[in-house]
Amino acid sequence: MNPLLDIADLHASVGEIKILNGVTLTINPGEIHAIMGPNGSGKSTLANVLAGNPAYNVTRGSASIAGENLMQLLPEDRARRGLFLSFQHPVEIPGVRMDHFMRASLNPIRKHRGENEIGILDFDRLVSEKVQVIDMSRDMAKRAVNVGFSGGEKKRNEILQMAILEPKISILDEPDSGLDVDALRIVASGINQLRSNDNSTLLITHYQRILDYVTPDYVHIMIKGRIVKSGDKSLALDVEKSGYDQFEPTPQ
Amino acid sequence: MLENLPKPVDAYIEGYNSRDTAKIPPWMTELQKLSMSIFQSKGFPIGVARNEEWKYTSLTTLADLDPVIPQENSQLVTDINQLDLTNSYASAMRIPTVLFLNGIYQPKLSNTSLQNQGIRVRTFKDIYESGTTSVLEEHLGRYVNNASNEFVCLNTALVDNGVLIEIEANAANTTPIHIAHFYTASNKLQTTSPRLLILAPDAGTATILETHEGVGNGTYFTNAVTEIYVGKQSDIQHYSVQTQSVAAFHISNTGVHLAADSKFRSVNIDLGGSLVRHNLDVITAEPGAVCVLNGLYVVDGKRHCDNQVIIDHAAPHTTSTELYKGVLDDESRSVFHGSVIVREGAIKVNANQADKNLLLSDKAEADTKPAFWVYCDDVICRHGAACGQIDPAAMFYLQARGIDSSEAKQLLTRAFLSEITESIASPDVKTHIETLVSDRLSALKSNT
Repeated sequence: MNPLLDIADLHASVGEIKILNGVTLTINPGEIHAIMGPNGSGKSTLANVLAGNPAYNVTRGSASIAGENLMQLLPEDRARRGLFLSFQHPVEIPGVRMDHFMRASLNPIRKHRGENEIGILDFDRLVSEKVQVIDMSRDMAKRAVNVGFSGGEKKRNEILQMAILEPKISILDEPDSGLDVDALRIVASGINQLRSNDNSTLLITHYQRILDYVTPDYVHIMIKGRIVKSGDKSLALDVEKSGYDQFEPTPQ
Repeated sequence: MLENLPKPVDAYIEGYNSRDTAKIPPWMTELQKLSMSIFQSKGFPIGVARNEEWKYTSLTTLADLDPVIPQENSQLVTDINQLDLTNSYASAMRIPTVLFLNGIYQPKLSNTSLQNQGIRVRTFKDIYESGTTSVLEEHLGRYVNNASNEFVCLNTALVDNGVLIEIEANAANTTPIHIAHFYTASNKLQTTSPRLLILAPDAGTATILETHEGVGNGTYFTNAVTEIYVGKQSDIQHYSVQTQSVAAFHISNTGVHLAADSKFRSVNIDLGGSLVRHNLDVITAEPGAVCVLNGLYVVDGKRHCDNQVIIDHAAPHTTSTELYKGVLDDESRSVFHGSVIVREGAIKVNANQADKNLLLSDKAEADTKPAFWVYCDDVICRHGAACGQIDPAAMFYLQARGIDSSEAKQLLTRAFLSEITESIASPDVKTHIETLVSDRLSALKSNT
């Protein structure tokens, strides 16, 4: 069986600045991997590069989803193949309603999976069911995308989209940042409910605390654009106790 | 040199002279004569006559073309299905209140009987025929600049058959009054002078939809004038939709007079035309008057769309809100010139103005020029202008959700304009315009 996500020696830059310096990582179905690292270590860049953000240049290496090379694909084609990025800063789009947006998103993905397009009524039913995952009112579907959403609502909205799109591999870019403990529990509970043996999650976080609620199979430490150490969840506790300094390369 | 060109008005004078004047009342004949002489002395605002008002819009191409004035009885149609109604608000089920084809009134395709709605719609010719023309005589030319505006004068001089809408006290119509103009191809510069006069003297409410639709790719020149008197406590909504051909010239002058505690809302939609110029002049003449002026334009190719809006706050406690939004592609150009005047003593005026443009191409250009003349303290005046491109972060967000780039662009451009379409209170008109806008946006090169 192919791993769901296979990253090999990935290098990436923004303009002249090199940010990823050879990331290698394999994620199998059913696994949750957490990537932790200090600010500026390249965690968000990794998430954006995997999702195909044109602001980043991949200079070397590869990544594939279920055996299929991602690197030459447009962002929308990656999404249709089952890759999902939960944004650290979800974008506000005035004038576009959540339900229109989510249906416009789901239908090409369903089409790629060989399923029929979903009609408006069935979609409304689906939204009513999935909002329960993140404890939101279905009224949110009538609001403009992320406009006027609180920080916590924006993050829950990302998990709602994940619940509706049912991706194979979810890359969650700091789904915990800016959340109070109640919102954190809801987001974590959503992630846990969506977990299955057929999908996998790459959870990017700065702090250990979300890992109290979402138990990772593996924890990786990223420093200066590389994974410098991998282990199980105890590694996260190690970070919590002693910080990231212990992983920094020793000055020559 | 442009400066040495003669004023190209002779062909229009010829059109004026060859009109059928048999049934025109003497006062109208006089008004037309005067208007023609003003137009004749001014000519087109080109060459030396090109003033600040026409700084960004050149009429040289228009002035070079040979006009022809369509004659009555040449184009009478008996069945509305003979017209191409594909993109029209009109249909066999929704016969317009008044329909004109190339400037010629089509009685068989019109339904002026608005029963029990307290609204009376008549053509000028019907009024001439009735022998009682005093209403027209009293109001025509009063709410626009018929003293010096060359295109108002040209319209008055050439108007063949206009429309008068009278809204009685406490009338409140539910279905929009639809004044429909259709234009078809012609090998000459077919020139029409649509004229609309709307009178709501006392606490009348009405919604008026004015459409200018082109069928095919013909070249023609529409020189429209609309006058609206919004009497005390009246509430008038005026929607104007222009979907003319890529070779069409469209000039309009709209004058609105607002009396005490009245309300006027307009939405001006431009999705067609080669060269489009609108002058909208609103005067809030008495306290409590409120106007909301919205506009939307989509231009591509080498199209040009120019909106000149003047709001004259002549009375205290009056409010104006103005929002125009445009999407520009290719080498198109838009002009927005918004003037707000606050007269001496007009305290507690609240005026808001904004023009926002989305440029889809590096070669498109939007010129925005706000101007405020405030002769009074204790007022609130705000202005905002913006020109920008599609937000790459929003694009990536949509694409990362599986939406392809062309659909994402259409979604974002539509969303940008939705602030204007959302302001349309009539649900039927709103749905119609949303479809037109959406189709227009999906046809832009940068959106495919």
